[in-house]
Amino acid sequence: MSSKKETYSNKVHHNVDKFYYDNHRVRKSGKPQALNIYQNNNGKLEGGRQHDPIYNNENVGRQIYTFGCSWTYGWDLEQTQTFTHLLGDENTAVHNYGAGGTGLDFAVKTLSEVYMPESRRQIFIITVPHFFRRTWFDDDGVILRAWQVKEQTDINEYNNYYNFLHNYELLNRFVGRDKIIWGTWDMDLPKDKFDVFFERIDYTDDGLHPGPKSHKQYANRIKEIYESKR
Amino acid sequence: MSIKKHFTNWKPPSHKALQITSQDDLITDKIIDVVDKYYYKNVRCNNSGYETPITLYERGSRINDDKNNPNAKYEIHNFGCSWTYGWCLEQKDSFPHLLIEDDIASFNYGAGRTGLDYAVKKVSEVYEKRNHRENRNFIYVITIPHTFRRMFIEDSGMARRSIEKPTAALINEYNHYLYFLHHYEMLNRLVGKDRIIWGTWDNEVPENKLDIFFELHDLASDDRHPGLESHKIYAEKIKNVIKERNLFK
Repeated sequence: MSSKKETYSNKVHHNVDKFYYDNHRVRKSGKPQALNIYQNNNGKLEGGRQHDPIYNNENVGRQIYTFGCSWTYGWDLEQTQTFTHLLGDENTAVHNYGAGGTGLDFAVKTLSEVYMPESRRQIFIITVPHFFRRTWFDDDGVILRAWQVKEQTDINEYNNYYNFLHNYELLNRFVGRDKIIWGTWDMDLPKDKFDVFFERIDYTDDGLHPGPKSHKQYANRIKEIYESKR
Repeated sequence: MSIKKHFTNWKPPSHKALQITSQDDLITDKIIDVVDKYYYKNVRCNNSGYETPITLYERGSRINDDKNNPNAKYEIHNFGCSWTYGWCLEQKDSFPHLLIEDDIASFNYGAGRTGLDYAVKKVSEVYEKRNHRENRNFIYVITIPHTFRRMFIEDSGMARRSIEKPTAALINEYNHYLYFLHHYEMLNRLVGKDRIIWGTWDNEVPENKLDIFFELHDLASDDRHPGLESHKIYAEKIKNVIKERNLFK
């Protein structure tokens, strides 16, 4: 018979592992449920946009991976209207890993899943959401919604900013600053850490997310950056 | 009136607007200054703005070792806390020193009271500085301290090497384990698990994530840290893993 300590540890490991490796939240009842990170995912992680309908050739010389929240996903837009898709062409495959409601730590986790150290073709575009978003568990082992963590915990701004900086620098140092284009739509973050700003010049139907013009403008800015680096 | 009209000049709502804080700026210049100094320079600012270096070493840095051959073909980089540093021992008695051979240089980045996040930060500095993405002549030995340790800044802006135990106890086990797991997997995935030897002296770290355990066979003069024999045995375990994995061939 396992001790109380072991049982507790197993539950801790189980709930955290379910999140970290499977993108699932374990509810208080013990029932796992897919994170609601894609629009209309029906609780099953459906609706991801990693596979582009047109620019998906894995053999072409440039493989662009985008990470971020619903702004990267293109909430309330067709996939072909998103900035990720607009970066594609016959020589460029694109992979949209945007996940609604998530923070930078989730983007870093996801990037580490697709990163190939030996590849010279991968380019990563990370659009940082509110810096204070992070993955956080309540005392029952249920993951909070990342954007609500600030309200539901008392983590101070020093530690929130440290958390951003740590994830930011680890990626730059391990992956290479030259392989990453850093963007954001959060005006609180220091500008000198970013290459591009995602401006919202129009809206989707929900009145919250950037519309087609905003995505087009952002895609053009990103193209200018990586063309200038060639 | 269309809801869109309300959002014409939309920007992310501030904490003040959300009635969470009394200020609009979430990251003030002071916050950036305090965190940047802590992160990049290992310096803390006290309440009166006075800056002091964070104490990481008992008898100075042991990163380099005089015995290292500057032309050694292979490198072992050791990361961890006071157990890696060899607190209360001479440098020559610490396990990183015992790994040195003619063709193998060994570096000791052990820093007292730090946690895994500090170790990973140091790994990232070494990885970049020594261009380990290209030069695959290295091994990282990471000896994980208590998993609840994390870099931490108090509300006053006072930075700590790691969180104090009573404060750590206010954070539940799920978040401690997540913090460990994120650092562990980031290194495995971004650097390569084959290049890392994972050890610990904390028996709360899941066994299946580890290669070796740092056992306490004897004590140093403070009766808390591992003594000579413990370091010797741990060094032998590391050498065995290197041999088994054929890492320096």
